[in-house]
Amino acid sequence: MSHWFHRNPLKATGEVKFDMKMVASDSQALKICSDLKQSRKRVLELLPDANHEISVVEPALTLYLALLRGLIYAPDSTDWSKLRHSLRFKWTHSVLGNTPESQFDAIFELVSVLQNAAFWYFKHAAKVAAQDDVSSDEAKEVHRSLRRGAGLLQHAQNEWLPHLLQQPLAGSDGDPRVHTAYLNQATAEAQEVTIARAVELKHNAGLISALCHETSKMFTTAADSLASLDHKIFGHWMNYLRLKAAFYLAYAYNYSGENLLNQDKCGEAIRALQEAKKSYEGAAALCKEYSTTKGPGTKAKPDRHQFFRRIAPIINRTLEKCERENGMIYHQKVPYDAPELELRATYGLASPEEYCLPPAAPLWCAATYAAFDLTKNMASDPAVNSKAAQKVEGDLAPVQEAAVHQKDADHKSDSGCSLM
Amino acid sequence: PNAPSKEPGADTVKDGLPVDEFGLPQMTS
Repeated sequence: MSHWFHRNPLKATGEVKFDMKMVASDSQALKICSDLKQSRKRVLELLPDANHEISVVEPALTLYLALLRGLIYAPDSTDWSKLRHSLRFKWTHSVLGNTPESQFDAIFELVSVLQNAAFWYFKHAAKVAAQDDVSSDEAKEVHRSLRRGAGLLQHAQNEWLPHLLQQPLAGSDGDPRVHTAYLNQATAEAQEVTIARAVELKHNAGLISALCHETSKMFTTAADSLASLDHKIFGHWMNYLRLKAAFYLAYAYNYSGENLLNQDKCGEAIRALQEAKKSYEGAAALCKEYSTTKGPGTKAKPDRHQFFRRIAPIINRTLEKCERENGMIYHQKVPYDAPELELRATYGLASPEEYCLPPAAPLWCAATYAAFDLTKNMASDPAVNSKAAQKVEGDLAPVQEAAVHQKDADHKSDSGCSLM
Repeated sequence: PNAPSKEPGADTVKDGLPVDEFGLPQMTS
């Protein structure tokens, strides 16, 4: 599925030295500071490259989050750590450009890292799907990556974002509208993998139609959630979501038509296929609009993909066949309104994979915690805390993301996806 | 968002029908 998925940029961040002051020199506390710095650096080195394996990224992420947890909770307690507000973290937002938001809050760091890791999973899924040949196990990896990324986002939004002292900025990654768009997009894309597999395995037309309809609705929900945001910034991404919604509606009506024909409901089948044709033409027009709309993120080329192109002749062929048979055999009236699609798919639905934060690193114990001196923290230093001092630091450079191989030639399989 | 409640891999049997890792009914060869 090369050039099939739209992806937004990664979040950029500034260096954090973890230079926390101590009451007295404590070797374990010093080691925590050093480990936090190194493990954060390692995560930031890995995330810009979607070609890494999950088995490389996941332990690095877990290690950093286990250490970071000690800045959020006091040891063996559910009380907030005295260090929670001791360091300043700054991060950009995926769609809002290079100006960072900064907060003296370890939870802001946690939310931002979880979001960026989720974006890595989405990019990794797109990378695996774009390979020349995608095996069944790799299809599972695409599916799992999308669900895992969605799970990370959901965990950040539900469990941590409400504890931030500042409200999320409009259009930021913490904005519920943006969150809803990402979550529905990832879940719908996981279902795309299942649809491709269902097409390949020639599953029941009714099952495919219902799953396509659910997927179309999820893309619509994602697009609608962005509608109230600045079109100049979010229009490109929104058009991608709209074109996918129209495309899967075309698929849903096509398979609905096939299903109706199988039940000898030829008149209704004709009407469903007419609707499929209309939705497909709408999707093709939206592809053009997407490609000409400026905005952050990659430029996918879904209309060039075999999975997009294959359905047009199928719709036309089935429609011609239905019209011919209706004229010769069935003589049924073609209804004015399109037939209702299945409201709820039974099989193949996806959902975000639940995520749990790792336990705090063993280095965090009561004695180590006591060694940190809260009175000398950066948060109380006006030289670094003032708005003017933060403004002087300026924008962050965008993350240089590693290239991912994208193939232009078609896959050999029927659906254009090798998911067997 | 109204994310579906069912997920692939959660069930190996659904409505008395064996399903694969994607939640699709197992195809008989």
